[in-house]
Amino acid sequence: MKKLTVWASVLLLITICSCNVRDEDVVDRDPEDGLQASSLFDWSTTQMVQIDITGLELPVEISRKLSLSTEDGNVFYAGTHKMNDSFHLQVELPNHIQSVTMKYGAIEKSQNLTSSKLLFNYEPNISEGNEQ
Amino acid sequence: MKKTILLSAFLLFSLCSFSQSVKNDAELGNSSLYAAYCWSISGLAISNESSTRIDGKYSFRTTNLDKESLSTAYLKSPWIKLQKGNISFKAKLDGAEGGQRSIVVQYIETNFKWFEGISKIFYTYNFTQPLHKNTKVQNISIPVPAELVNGKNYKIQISFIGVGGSAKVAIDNLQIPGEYHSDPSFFCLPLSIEQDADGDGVVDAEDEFPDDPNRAYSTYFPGKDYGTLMFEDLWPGIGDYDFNDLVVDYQIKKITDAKNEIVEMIVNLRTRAIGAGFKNGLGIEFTNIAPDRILSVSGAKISGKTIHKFAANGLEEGTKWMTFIPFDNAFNILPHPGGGVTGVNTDPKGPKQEIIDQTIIITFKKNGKSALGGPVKTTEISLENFNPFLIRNQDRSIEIHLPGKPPTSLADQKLFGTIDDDSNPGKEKYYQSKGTNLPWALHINQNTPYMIEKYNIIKGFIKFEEWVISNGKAYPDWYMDQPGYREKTAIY
Repeated sequence: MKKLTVWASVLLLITICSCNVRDEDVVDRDPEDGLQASSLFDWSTTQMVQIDITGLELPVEISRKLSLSTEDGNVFYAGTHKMNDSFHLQVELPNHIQSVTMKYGAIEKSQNLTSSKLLFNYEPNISEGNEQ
Repeated sequence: MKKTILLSAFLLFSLCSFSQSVKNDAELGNSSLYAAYCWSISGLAISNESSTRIDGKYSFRTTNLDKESLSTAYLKSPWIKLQKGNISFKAKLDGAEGGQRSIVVQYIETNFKWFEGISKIFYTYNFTQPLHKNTKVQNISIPVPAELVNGKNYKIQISFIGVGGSAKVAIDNLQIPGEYHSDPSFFCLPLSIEQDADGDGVVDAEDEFPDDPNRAYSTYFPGKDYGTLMFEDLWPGIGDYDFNDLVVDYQIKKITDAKNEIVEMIVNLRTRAIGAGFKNGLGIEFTNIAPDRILSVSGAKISGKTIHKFAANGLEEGTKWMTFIPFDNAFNILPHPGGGVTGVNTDPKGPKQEIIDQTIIITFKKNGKSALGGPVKTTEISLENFNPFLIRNQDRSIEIHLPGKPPTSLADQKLFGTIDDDSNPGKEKYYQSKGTNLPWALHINQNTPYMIEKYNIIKGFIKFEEWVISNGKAYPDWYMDQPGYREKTAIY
């Protein structure tokens, strides 16, 4: 009987002392499962884009709002600019952005982000017909 | 003596009275450019063919002429305030056979809505017969009708008509006495004075603040939506990589004036989760902006006994670049709800704490005047110099930044290179781990959910690993809610 009591006590003790499995012990604690990044990887979710707008030499001074926006409607740049001034901007845009729209008065032009450099001007898009 | 005075007066008058003219010599060589300058060209090519070139590299020449219509082949000027003088141009045929060729000059008035109204012919030139082998350059000069010199806007249209044969007509060196008066930025309508109620130089239609002379535009970053910052707070030691020790959404709105200088910056924050026991704070530096260029900061949530020192303008004192502290203890923003869980809003089984919006206002200019350090152009503040950081557990010297972003001048750089950190200022490497180059913070450019407590980020964002391994080439949009991108059972 005494032996049984001792073994029961030991068993009880072991049961009490064994830790409950917590949720946090179940989940993997290894940082990113052995993931390794290149030392050159910048972890950025944005892309650097260079935007160049060529000015138009005019016999009159035109100065109005120039705006640049992404396809989701976000205006990421707005400023007062003279139409005969060229403008250069480097900007970080979200990775998922695919196009940029320039607006200047009634002039509106869009370009897809197929490269990190976008070129805009104030010339209208006219159809072929007045070829050289 | 009298003769000398009269001569001087005459010379002075000649110098002062400027005769202007609007010219077109085809030398731009590009129809699109002429259209940008509000010239209209129809049925004409800009050609360097020797048979039709009159002067310079290019001349205008007709294509096929087989109609007597005034609207088939023409060169039409922008709107001009005509002046006294002669409209002149050179014209020739290319010598090919043709029945009959003529040049018709007309003026066009504006209608009441500033578009083209009535037109009227005031000159016609008929090439002499026979046209075959006729290549002589004609110098044509036409007086501007006196009734058109009245301060109103007109267009001059030069049309080319003809029937029979294949003779082409060329034109060059057009000059029209008058002042250019079109607006190339607005449908080439006549220049007009637009309403500008606050007189800041930005017309009301384009001014977001039409009654405030000190404000004109507003722009946002990272985008239309909030961005998300996620931190691990055991730096320089590696943690569990659930990136939810602190999760803060942010959006920055810049309000600028007509000079493109920042008037105010409104920083909207939503502290969504605290997955840790540390009393962490948040700081934001804009690198390369000196602190004395800011007038004031308001909206920060700072404890009574804070570890920070602040300058009179509300920025943190002692930093090289402008740094503000939205909060010095995240639990003051997002209080612990109790319930036996470690953090706040990271365990789905725990009570959910309400997220409160916080707004920080940073003033750069007031009533048009900037701070002592000078104004800040809108292009000087962007994602590029946006440098947010976690301040660990009430220790100001321990900062945790995004990978690659430098510490502020108040950080203890002696911690660099210790435990798991591989920061090396000499190589401009910051806050990345030894050997694996992993970060302690992430910036996602749009509002993004975060991991449940202790769930590694790889488990929730399925494309994250491929994005990293491919150096960012694969799945650069890993954070988006696209099919196959997320394991939602691992995400809060």
